[in-house]
Amino acid sequence: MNALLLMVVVSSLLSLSIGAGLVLVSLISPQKNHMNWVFVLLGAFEWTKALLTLIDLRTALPYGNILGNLALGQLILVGGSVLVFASLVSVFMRQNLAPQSDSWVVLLVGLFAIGTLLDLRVEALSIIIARLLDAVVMLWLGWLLLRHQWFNPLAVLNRELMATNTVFRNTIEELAREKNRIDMLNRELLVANRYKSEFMSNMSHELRTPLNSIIGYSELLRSPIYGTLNDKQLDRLDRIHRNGQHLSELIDRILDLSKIEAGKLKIEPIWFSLSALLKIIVSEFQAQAAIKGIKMTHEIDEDMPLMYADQQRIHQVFHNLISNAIKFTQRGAVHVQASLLNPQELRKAHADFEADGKWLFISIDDSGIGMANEDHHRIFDEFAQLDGTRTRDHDGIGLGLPIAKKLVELHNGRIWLHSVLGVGTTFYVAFPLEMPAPVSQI
Amino acid sequence: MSQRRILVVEDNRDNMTLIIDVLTALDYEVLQASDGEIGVRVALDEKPDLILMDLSLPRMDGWTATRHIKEVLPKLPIIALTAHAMMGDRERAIEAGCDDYISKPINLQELARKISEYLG
Repeated sequence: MNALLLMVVVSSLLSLSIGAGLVLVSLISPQKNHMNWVFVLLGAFEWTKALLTLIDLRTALPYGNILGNLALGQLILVGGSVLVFASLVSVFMRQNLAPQSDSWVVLLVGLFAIGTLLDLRVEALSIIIARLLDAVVMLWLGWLLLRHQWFNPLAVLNRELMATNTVFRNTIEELAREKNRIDMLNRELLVANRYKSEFMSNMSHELRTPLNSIIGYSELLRSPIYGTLNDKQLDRLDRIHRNGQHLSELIDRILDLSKIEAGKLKIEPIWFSLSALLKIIVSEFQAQAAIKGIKMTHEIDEDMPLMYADQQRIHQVFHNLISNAIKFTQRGAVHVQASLLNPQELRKAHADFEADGKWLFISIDDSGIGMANEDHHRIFDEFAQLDGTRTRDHDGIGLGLPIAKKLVELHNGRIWLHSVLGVGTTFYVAFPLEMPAPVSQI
Repeated sequence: MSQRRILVVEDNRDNMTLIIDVLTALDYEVLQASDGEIGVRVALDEKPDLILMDLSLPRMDGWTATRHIKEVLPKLPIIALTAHAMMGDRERAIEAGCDDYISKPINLQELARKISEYLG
């Protein structure tokens, strides 16, 4: 009964809301006390377009709303007509008689009666068929609506999402292809890099072997084992020796740089006093500065805390920077300053300095030729000096600064400069006091 | 005390002459070998007091020669003398059994000092 009620309610709601007919023929076997409810329900559906017929199984009595009764009546009449017609035909067939004139009359009258009945019934039947078609069409439309999401406000969003999804999928595929390409390039580069390392190693060997003879013999010639030389010969020999040494240093520097670039530099950190190291380096350059007539001054804070770094590499950094400062200064002074600063104080030297904690801060200030703004970054590139006009006036191959920069960065430090053409240059170096231990590149 | 004997294994004639000049001036007797194979043979036959070993050599390289010599004469000091002055070359030389390492261009004072360290 409940299932029936539900069906009735659902079908009526459907038929009311979509204005369509719905055919519902149910066989029921209600208990007596439920019959009232059946009538109430039928009453409720009396004027709807639903076609409702309930047949009581106990009494075989049909109950229906208007359309239901109509349809049932038509069915009975049509069924009756068909039966009459069929029985007439079967009488003729059984008698196996050729139709005679009076028989024809009976048959025509019969057909006419059946036709009239049918005509009426067809009209009623067409209602049933129309209702059925209505229902089928509406169900089909509903199904189409659901299937194709017409009039679904989410459909537009959904289509957009699908489109975006396609775009993403294409992008992912594109990226995957790009990644493959980069991986391949990377492998090629690794191979090329290995060839480069091998080449550097071979070149180092090939350059050092003849240098060994040049430097070695010039040293031996200065000693008395081959006999004594006059002053002029000794002077020229010194030149051979000095140039040989210079060439040897250049080879070392190029190899240093190639090692740093190949990521093979070994950093061996120890605790040491930066102020003591700086003073030693300054004193090493005093004589050279004096020869050029440049003042070499310093202002190094004695109380700076110890630094944990590779002392040799830090030595190399400041050796390169001070050597550079002297090289490009013709008159005036080179001034080295070092102290422990906090980031606020550092920002006075470099407005963009962003960092926490305390920093060991060193500046090397010269009154040399300076450089134009556009050269400020380029100067840290390898061989930058070779391109510039400075090559002709100043020796060196422009490796000191790139090496210094890379060594500072290996120690988590920073290096930058301020320079005005014709006025002078100041190099700044800062190392974080609380720095993570520098790590060898290997 | 008889003259100490040093075997020099070196393929470059100029450098060989240079080292011979230095060692002679320092009053050592010098034995020569121009490749690794000759070096091993001379070392085993003559049992010198010290060997200066170039590492890039024809026929048999210095690392291999050092290994062969050290198998038979583990206490014979061998100083690698090489233009392989890049990172890791020292380690490779020591690994092959060399007791010490001097990179070219040779600092003659350093060479004299190291030899006297081993020969006392």
